[in-house]
Amino acid sequence: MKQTLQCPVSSTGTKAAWMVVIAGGLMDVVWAVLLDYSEGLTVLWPSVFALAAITVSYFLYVLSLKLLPAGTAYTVFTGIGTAGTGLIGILFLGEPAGGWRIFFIGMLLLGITRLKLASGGETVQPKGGELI
Amino acid sequence: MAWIWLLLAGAGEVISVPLLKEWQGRRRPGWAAAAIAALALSFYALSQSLSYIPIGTAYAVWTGIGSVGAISSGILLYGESVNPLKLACMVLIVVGMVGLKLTS
Repeated sequence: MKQTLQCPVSSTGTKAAWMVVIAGGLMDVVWAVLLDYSEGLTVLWPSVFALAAITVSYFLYVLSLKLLPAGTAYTVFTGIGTAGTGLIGILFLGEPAGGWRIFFIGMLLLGITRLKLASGGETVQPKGGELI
Repeated sequence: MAWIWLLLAGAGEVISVPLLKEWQGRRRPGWAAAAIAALALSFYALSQSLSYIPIGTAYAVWTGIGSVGAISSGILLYGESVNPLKLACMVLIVVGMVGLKLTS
């Protein structure tokens, strides 16, 4: 969170930045669930909307990198994506809710969200964020 | 087979990062085309893995491979630093993925 404090944007700008990154993370959950409904890209509309949603998600991520430090943006993005797909899977898609599954998804969540913060302000950003 | 699709999906995501980076550096359309092909492969492979793997698991593993791969390519190809916290996170992700595979 130290990086957030160093980000030189106004409070209005910060609020907008957080809305962009949260919308992007939620869009990741949306395309993942649509992809599940696409039955391996064989059902037309879920496939089309999943592709549209992943494109929107990608651009929201690139945009959020302009507004927030890379480590923070990536952490929020993947955190919402991982926790969100896990929860929706269990709550609405009948996916297993066993203790080990939740434990290991939690372990991945922790590792993924910490990893980018651990790399500080370095330049390599997953999902093509280096395009900006 | 589903787990092989999932690994392939992760690999596509990982390969796209240095390809996009090269494109940024050189601005040749070939690099962009290769990056888009890698991302398309990743998306297709992920969709195939979902026939057997729950989406919550697949997404977590896919992102996990993407993160570990992006940080590894940064270290191996672009000389970024290695620190204990980075290594610990990568170990945590790999153990989490193997654990999910073994308990699923």
